[in-house]
Amino acid sequence: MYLTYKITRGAIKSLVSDAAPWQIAVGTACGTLLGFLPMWPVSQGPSPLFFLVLAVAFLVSCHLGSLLLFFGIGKLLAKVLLGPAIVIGMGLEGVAKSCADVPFLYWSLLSHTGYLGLTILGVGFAAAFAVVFTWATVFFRTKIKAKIAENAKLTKAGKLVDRPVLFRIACWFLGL
Amino acid sequence: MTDAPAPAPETAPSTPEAVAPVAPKKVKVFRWWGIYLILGFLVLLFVVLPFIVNPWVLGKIRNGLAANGWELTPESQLSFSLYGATLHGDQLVVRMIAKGKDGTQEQVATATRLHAEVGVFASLTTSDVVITELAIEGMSGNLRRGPDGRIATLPPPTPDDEKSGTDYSKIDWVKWYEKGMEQYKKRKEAQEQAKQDSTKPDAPKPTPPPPVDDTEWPKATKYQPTPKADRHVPRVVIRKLAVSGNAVKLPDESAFEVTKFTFNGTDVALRQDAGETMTLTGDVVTKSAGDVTLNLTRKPDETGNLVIKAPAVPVEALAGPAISGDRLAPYGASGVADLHIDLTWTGWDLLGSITSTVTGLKLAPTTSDAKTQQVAQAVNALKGKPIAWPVKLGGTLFAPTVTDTGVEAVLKGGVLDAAKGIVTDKATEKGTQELNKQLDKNPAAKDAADKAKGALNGLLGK
Repeated sequence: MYLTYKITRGAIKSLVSDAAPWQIAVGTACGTLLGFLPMWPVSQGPSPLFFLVLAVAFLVSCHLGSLLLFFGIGKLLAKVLLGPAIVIGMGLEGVAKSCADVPFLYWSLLSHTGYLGLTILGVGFAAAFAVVFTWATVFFRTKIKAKIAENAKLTKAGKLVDRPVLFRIACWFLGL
Repeated sequence: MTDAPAPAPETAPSTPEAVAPVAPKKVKVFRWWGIYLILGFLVLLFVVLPFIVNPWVLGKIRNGLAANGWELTPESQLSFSLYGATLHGDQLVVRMIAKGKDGTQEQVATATRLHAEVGVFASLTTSDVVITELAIEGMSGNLRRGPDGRIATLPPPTPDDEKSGTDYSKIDWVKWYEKGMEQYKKRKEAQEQAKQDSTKPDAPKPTPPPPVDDTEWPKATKYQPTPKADRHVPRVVIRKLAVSGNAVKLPDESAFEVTKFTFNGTDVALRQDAGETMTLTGDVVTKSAGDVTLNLTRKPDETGNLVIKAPAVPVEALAGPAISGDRLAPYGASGVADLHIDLTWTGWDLLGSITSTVTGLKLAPTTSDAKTQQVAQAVNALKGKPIAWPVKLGGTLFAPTVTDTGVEAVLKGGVLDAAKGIVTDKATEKGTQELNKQLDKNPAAKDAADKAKGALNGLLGK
């Protein structure tokens, strides 16, 4: 429950933050991808690709809240999608074999059918989440935020009759 | 006059229409503190890495030893420095993991000091293990046979070895050499074949090793890199080698037991790259076979030269059954040989010579075989006088053969002198100048010379 609360709160904070939509898009994409990439499997060693993406995420001025939020979401999804990842990885056997001969990709565990499948899924989810979340940010800021702010002013002025306490809690939750 | 403040000017009520539009905040693409963060991470990594890599390297070394059935004793001090790129050891003792029947663990090798410097950059750029300098001091080794005839401290036999049913107790040093060279030849031929195949335009690509199953992820498979055609495993090359030590137990207790040795070398490697000339010089002091010096030069164009000098080798030591099998043993030979072995090879073809001066050669055959007795009689007739005996070698590195027994040369030199003595006994007061004529004229002298020739041919022909 607490995790769900934190995730929802984090998402809302991203929506209402001052970050530009592209920053949120990059943060979302990097976070999701990092969630799917292997970091340091005990039996395999560190993955250079993970640390490269992480370095890029820190260098580019992306939204760190989105990064952390979607890193968590990506990790959870990666746990759930192990089965499909294997199926995708086995379907891309040729790619896995080719990756074995490129040292950077080999050390990034992309010659491992399981991690290859997860990475492919990660790329797909990263792109999808980035597009959806950027659209949601723009939509929230342009359409919903103004309305809520207006209602908040009316509440303060005592003009909103029904359940002002609940509305105040909702505004706090939304960070408005 | 009152102190009442002046009335404040009326301010216009603020309305949303009156607010000036806020200019969008300019967002920087790069985050400068991100660079500091990464730099900080790298610094942290620099500090932490030795604590991860150093134990890992030492673990690899211990695992490598364990794969051969060996271990380092707890008293051995071995350390690796990542940034110094050095491996250092003091009071090292490698012993067998398995305990013997008496409950003790056999020692494999010891060294009072080991220092190796690894060429990190060279290793990374060539995918080889390049050791720029390796120095081992106070080294000793144990290559003694066990009860089954195998060298007890070597890795346990493979299933193929066991299937072959070889009686290792009957394998002498010459056969060990032949076996070793055969294995080297097979490996070399496989490498050459792979190299040739890879240069053909329609050559099939080398097959990658079989994929590895991930034990933590049973349904997944991890594919391995395809090995290079000419390099299946990284090659180890030592740019500068200096090893000194004592007490090397050879497979069988003999006069050749090493009591002190020094080896120095440059570009020492089993597989050579272009431009590398391997040199190895060695000085070995043996228990009772005198000093042996060795000088090896090996070039990448498959040519090489090996010179071994052993000025005081007891012939009875050479004739030991464990060393030369039944080649010399039946003759019961004794004497001292000043050996000078000079071998040159091109590819697998061997060209060489063994020049020896044998002093005090006597034969006491252990068999009643007529031919052996005849040889003994002839050689003993030489009365142990020094014999300069040049033998020409040929064949291949893995199967050397005697191409010229050198008997003719012996007869012209040392044996002639010996024969002179015999002739002198038979035909006194004959001048030395007429001796050669006498050899032809005097049947006894001729017979002695012929016998000597037959004897020496018999010795080398076996």
